[in-house]
Amino acid sequence: MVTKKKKRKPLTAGQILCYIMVTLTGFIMFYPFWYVVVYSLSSYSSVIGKGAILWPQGFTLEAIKNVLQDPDIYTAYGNTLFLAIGGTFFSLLATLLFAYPLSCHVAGHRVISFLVYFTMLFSGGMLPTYYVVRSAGLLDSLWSLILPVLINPFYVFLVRNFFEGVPEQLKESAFIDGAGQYRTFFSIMLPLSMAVIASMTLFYAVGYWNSYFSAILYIRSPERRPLQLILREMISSSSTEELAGDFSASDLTPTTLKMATLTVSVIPIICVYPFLQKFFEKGVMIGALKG
Amino acid sequence: MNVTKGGKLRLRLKRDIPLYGMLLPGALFFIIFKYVPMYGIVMAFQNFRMARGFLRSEWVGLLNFQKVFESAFFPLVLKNTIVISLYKIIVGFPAPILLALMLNEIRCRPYKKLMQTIVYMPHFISWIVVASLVNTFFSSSSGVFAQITGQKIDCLINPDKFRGVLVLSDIWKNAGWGTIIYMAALSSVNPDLYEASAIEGANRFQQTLYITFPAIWPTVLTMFILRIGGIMDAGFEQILVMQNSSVYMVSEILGTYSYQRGYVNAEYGFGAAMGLFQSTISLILVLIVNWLSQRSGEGRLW
Repeated sequence: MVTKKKKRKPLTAGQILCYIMVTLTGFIMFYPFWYVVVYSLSSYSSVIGKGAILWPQGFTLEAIKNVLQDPDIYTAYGNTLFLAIGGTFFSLLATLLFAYPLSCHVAGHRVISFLVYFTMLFSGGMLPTYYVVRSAGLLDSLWSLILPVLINPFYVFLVRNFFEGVPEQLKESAFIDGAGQYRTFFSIMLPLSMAVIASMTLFYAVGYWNSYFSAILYIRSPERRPLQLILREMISSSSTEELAGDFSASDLTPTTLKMATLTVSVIPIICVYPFLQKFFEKGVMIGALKG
Repeated sequence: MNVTKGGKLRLRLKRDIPLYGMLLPGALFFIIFKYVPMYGIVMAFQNFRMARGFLRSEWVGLLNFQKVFESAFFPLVLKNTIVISLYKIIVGFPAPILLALMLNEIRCRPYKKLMQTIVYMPHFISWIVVASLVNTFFSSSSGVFAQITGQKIDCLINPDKFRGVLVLSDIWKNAGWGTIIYMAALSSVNPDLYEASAIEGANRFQQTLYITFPAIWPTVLTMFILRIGGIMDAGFEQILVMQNSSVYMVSEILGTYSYQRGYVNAEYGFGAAMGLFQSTISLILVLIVNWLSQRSGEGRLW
C-alpha cells in the first residue's frame, strides 16, 4: 500500500532539477558525437553557408565513401582491426590462462600474485620498455602494439576472483570424470565466466582500438600506422590545409573528411558497448571492490 | 593411509603440472615486458647508448638526476603536474559523484538507462578523438563556438584558460564512466530506509544527506585515496595530444617533458631518471595513502 502511494507521489522540485541537470549532461556528452556524424553526412556546399548544427544538410555519403576508399585510411583501419581483434584474442587467452592456476592456488600462487600486483604499483617506464621492445626486434611491427601490453594485471585479479567463486564441486566432478586441467578450464570454467569475459573483451578491444602512444613510440612505416595515428596527423594538418587548398571543385573539404574519419573511427565501438552495458557495469564493480 | 596419501599427492601433481603450463605465456610476458624494463631503470644511472644496451653502457652515478633537478624547466614541469592534478581532483573528483546522485533520483527506468548509456559514451573514444572534438568546437576562428558567437575563442591558445580546457575535457571524458562505481554503491542501499524515513517525515534532500551519502561514503573515500595515488600523472596521453606551443608553459608535465627529452631528443639517461623520479614518488604516495586508509579503519585497499 505504502509503496504504491509513494510511487504516485508527484516529482519534487529537487527531482525535477535532477531530471533537467541529467538531461543537460546527457546532451553535452552526446552532442559532439552527433555534430561530427551530421557534419560528415552533409555536403560541403550546404554546410559552408548555414552550417549543420542539428540535422545533415544536403545529405550525402560522399565523405564517408571517400574516407573508406582512401588507401592510407583503409590500411590503417585494417591495422586497427587486427589489433582490436587479434590483440584482444591473445590478451584474453593469456589473461584467462594466467588467472586460472592462481585461482586453483597452485604452489607459489601468493608469490606470483604479489609479483603481478607489484607491476601495478611500479614500472620500468617508457624508455626501458622501449629498449626491450627494440632488442626483441619488435620495432615497427604490429606485435609491438600487442605484446608489451598483452596482460592488464588488474584483469588478472578480476578473473582470479571470479574463478575462485566457482563452486569447487564443479571442478571436482570434472576431474572424477577424467577431465584434465585444460579440459576443465575450457569446458567448465570458461562457459561459466561469460559475463566476465564479455566485459574484459570490451575493455581490451577498446584499449587496442584507442591506444596511440605505443604506436608513436614503436611504429615507423606509414603502412603499419593504426587509425589513431592517422587521426592525429589529420588534426595537426587540417587547419593549415583548409586555408591553403582550393576545394570548391569537389564537394569535400578537409573538415568534412576529418569529420568522416572521426565518424568511421568511433562508430564501431559506440555501436557495440551499449549491448555489453550490464556486463561491464558489473565488471567494473567487482574489479573496483576487490581489485 | 600412506598409499592413499602418496596417491593423492601424485594425483595432485598430475593435476598441477598442466597448471604451470598455463602460467607460462603470462609469466613470459611479465618477465620480458615488466620485470626486464624494471631492471632497465639502471639506464637512469648510465650514459645510455641504444647500441650498447643497459648491460654495457657507461655508468655515471647520479649525473642524470643532477641534470634533471638542475634543469631550468624541472620546477615548472613539477609545478604544472601538481597544479593540473589538483585542479582535476578538486573539480573533477566530485563530478561523477554528483552525476550519480542525480541519476539515482531519476525514477523513469528506461530514461535512466538511456542517460547512463549516453554518459558512458565519451569513455570509449581516444584522447586523439577528444582533442579533435575540442578543436572542432573551440578552435579560434573556425570552431563551432566561434561561428555561433561570431567572436574569437582563444581558450586553446590562451595560457590562462588552457588548463581549464584540460580539466573540463577530462571531466567530459571520464565523469560518466566514473558514475558506475557510485551507482553500484547507491543500488546497495536498503529501500526500507527510505520508506521508514519518509514515514518519519524526511524529505528527499534529508534522505540524500542522511541515508544516501553515508552509504556511498566508503566508496568515495576509497576512490579519493586511489586518485591521490595517481597525482604524479596529470594526464600524459591527454596533454600530449592537446597541448600546443602557445600553452607549453602551463601544460608541460613530468610525463610529456621526459618524453620530449628522453625519446624525442634521445637523452635516454635523462628521460629514464625523470621517469624513475615520477614512479618512485607515485609508489611512495600509494604506500602512504594505503597506510592512511588502514588507519582510518576503512580497511586496506589490498
